[in-house]
Amino acid sequence: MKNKLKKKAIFISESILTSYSQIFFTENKVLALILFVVSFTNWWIGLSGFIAVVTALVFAELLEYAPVTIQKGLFSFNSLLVGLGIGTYFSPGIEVLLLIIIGSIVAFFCTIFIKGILEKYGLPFLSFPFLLGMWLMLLSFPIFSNISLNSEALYPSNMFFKIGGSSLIVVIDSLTKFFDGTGLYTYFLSLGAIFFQFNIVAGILIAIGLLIHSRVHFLFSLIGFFVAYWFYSFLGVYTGSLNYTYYGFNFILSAIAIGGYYLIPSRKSLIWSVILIPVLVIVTVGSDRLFSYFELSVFSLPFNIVIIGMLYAFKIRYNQTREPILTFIQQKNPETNAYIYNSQSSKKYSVFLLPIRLPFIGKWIVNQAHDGVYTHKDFFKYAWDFIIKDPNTNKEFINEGFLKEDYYCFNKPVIAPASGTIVAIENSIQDNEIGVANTVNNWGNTVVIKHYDYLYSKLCHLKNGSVAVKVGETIEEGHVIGKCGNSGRSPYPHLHFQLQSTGKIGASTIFWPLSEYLISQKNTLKFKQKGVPEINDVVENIQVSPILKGAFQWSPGDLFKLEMVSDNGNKTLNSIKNEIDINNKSFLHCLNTGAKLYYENNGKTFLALNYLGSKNSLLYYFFYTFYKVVLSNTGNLNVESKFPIHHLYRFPIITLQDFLVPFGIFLKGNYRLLYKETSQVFSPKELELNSNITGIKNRIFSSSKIVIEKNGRITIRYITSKNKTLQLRWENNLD
Amino acid sequence: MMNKKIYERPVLRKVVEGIPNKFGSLKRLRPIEFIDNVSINSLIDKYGSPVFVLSEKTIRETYRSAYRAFSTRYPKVQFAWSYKTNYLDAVCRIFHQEGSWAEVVSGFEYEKALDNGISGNKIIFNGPDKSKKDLIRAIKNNSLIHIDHFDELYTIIELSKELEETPQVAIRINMDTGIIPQWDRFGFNYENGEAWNAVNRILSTGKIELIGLHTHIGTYISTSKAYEIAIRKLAELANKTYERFQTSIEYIDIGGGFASQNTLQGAYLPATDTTPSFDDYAHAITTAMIAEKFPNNIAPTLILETGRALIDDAGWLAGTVLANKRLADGNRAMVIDTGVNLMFTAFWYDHEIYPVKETSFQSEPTTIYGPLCMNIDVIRKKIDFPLLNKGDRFVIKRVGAYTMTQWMQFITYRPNIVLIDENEEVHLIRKEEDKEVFRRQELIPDHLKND
Repeated sequence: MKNKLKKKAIFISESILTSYSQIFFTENKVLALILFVVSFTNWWIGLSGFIAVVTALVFAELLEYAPVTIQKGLFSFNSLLVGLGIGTYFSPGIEVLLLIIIGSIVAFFCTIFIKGILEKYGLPFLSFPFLLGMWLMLLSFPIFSNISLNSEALYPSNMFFKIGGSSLIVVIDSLTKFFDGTGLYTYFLSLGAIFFQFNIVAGILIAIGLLIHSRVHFLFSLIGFFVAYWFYSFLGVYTGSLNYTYYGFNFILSAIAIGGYYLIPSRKSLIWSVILIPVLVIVTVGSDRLFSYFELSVFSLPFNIVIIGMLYAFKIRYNQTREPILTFIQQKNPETNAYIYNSQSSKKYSVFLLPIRLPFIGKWIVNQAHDGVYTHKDFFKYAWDFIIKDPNTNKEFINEGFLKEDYYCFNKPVIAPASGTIVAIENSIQDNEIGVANTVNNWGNTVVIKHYDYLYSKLCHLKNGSVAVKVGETIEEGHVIGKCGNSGRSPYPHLHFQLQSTGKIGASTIFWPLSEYLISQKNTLKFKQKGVPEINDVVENIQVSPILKGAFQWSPGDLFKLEMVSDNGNKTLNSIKNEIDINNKSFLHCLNTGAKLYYENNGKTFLALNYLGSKNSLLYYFFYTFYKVVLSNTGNLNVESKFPIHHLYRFPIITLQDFLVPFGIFLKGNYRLLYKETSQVFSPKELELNSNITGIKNRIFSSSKIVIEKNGRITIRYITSKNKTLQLRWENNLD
Repeated sequence: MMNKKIYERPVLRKVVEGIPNKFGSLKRLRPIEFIDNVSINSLIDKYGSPVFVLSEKTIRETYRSAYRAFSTRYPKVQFAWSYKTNYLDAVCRIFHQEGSWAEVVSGFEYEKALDNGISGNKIIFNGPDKSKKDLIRAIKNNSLIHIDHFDELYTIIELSKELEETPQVAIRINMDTGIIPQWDRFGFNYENGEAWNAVNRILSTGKIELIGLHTHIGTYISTSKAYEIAIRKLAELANKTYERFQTSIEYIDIGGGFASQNTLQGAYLPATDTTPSFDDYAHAITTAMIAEKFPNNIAPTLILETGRALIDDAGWLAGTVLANKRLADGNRAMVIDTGVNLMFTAFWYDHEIYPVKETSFQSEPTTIYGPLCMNIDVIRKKIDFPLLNKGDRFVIKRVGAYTMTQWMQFITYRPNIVLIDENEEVHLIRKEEDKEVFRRQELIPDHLKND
């Protein structure tokens, strides 16, 4: 009971706090606390905001909305803004209190409504609900005769005198004098204005909070503001107007949103945020003129309009692999987003989540790749043709190649590139003689497989009568669906393979990279995590090692023991549970410390996605050791990957890097995994691996000697950067 | 300058066989002068007569086409070079370089495989004759031991206790697949329950790991039906084993037995027209492998121990004519300097034999004898062969398999073996024997010594 109460109390306080920080797109508690305190520099404004937040939360609870969303403050931050706004405009009174509650409710329902509309497009609702709520309130107030305007907020000195007496006034005056006349003064005022606090102290405090939360956000707040400031003077707009209108923060929030939040911070995001500001200035100035007819302030309207427009424009781009990249999962701050994004092994293709693999067995060669010279053009440019060639003779056939049976690829099995459902087949078209192309039935015998909504694969020119699946049948990856043939527009036997967004035979192609394959180069094999096979690449799928697959295949609810013995004989034991969160993401949960290791296992690669929480958990060493494991020991496969640097470097070097993120990531973290040959080829008792992480100047952060046993037990000899040896043991906890 | 005309002895010849036309049919063996662009004459001049010639290029090409045929049809394929077919170190190393493991059937072959740099865990140890010493070594090296009979199994059970090791084994199984004759002398029979019995014996010890099943249903089999039956039976056994012991069979060894293009004696059509290709075998075997459901839906590795079909084409035997004769029945006979001591395979094959130089445009049914003082020394019965004179040279095609392992030292020394590499350079890979070879092996008791 007590526990439950405690949980509830934590939930409520977190929900309230994040309502404050959410305005800066974060759940950071320090920033939230600063904002909370700042809002209370005037008790009435602070109280107004607080009441509005509580009202919205009560409604969200009453309607039983998802606790996760409530906890993030997403239902309540607009109400908070309305509350703060009303508190700023009108002096304390019981009537106003009631109106605050009503305003909060309006903002709350606007949130639900606008969220409902925009979410379908994958867009955020930003502060539209606040705008609607606030304008409604402001338009209706002149009618209420019992309410008077709040003059106190207009005279911050009075307010500060009440709080800290004359000494505080002296401090503030000297601060004001120090910054007066510089753009920084206006910058701080604008930051404060986000919370309806037109004073420099509020601005400075918020700036500090922002800096603590994120160096990138702080940097972009400066960039956004000063580009606008310069543009104001460039156009001859009176910059002083920013000192008494609620407009300056539009530039700050927009730069933060585009530069660091909705886009992964990078040089490109920096350029975009800079391009955006002049546009925003014009939108601000223009809309201000329009709204003055209604005696309303535009508040954050320019920010809302420009960001939504811009985000939508980025979202519907055909090619999502080009920078700037939209942030897929928000980490604690944008620099973390950048570091995690940057450490992905094939970051360019990170939006293509579903693995699609090669649709054949053994080594085939790409005869026509994307944008091919023969037929892979325009609508069909994202397709591959595969054949088999003898690497020595460089021929694709025996004898003279006058018969289709002479071709190495003819009659070879074609397999499903991923699991799915068969949605269309064609199986009765004659195979052509060599040199003849059937342009009537262009695709020949074909199988179309649905892998996911809007993701289909199509395999064409199959052998007449060889299709071994039926429409509606569900198949696993690797299932033989037919034989390579020479039907349709195919003058010589080959396999046409493409991905498309509909189930129709004849649909145009879509871009989608292939996952986990090997390219043969002379005597070596090059591993590709994700890639687009190019012309003349000799490619094959990787084979899964049963022992590795077994060691990393866990079901939700599986319990593990992770034990560590350090140099001096100290023993530590952690219980680890494999869980799945509401977004269907798998993670290992350290039950002792609460740390979480998010991971992905696509059947051929185990990939640690992110580590959250206490670094005292033994899971942390597990994360370092197994950052990325390709579940195969084919040939001399070596896994190399970047490692997220925020886990490696500390203050001050990482802080410096944080500031530089929009210009580039200069620190390095390299993860390497080496496979050792097993003493037994089949069903080996154990598998030995070595992994290490190195940084700039080959500094070694960690190295692990790993032994994985057949029963899934893993022993790790972990050497830290300080040369301490730790013995870790991971095993299934069956009791 | 005009070439000197070749002298041809006059012959009487009846017009036979072929599509009849005004002139009968021209039956003429085209001479073979070169192997991989190296002249055969120069080889004999340098390395003596007879001489075995191996072509590295052919070996590699054949292996690659075989590997391609299987590996593009089935995800996990492994070849193991059958040492008994040809265990010349140079030959084995070529196969190992290409990625082939070793399949050995004796301690001697096992040692050879290790010497050729193949690691113990990539040696398949087959055959009914494995000594205790051999087994101990194989277990310690993590080799894959294919058990042939219960007596061997008992030895391995004993050894696993003695050595405190867990050997990894497979069992060889023979079965009825509709093929006659049924090869039931190797391994455990499937139908009478011996095989299942062996599985139970192995796994109930808890000391031995059963990881593979091995069968060899015969040679010259091109019908997919037989492989289908064999693989279905093996899959059944694998599933039964999994149900009872939760042990997965990791590989299926389908043996070898793929025919070469040498024509068997008594065959109606030449083997070049009838022998199934690697693609035919691969199609039959892999189709059956893919169609069967194995435990956990995991496809076991497919191991192939093909020997003959991989090496036969790469081997040549070049030699010299010793004499010509007319036999009692009037037929012509030719004596050459290679006998069945070198060409054991002549007992069952109609070997293809060619002159090295054009000597005559006429040919006559000829029986070719070896030089041994034995009546059975026949290299080829009744072949339409051009008239060669003493000292002329000939070459025999497709002698890569078994000749160089089953040959005998009899009344003379065994000849040189050379390898033509991919750059057409010739390497001596086995030296001609001489009297020192034999002197070294022999011991003379004191009382028989001359001084």
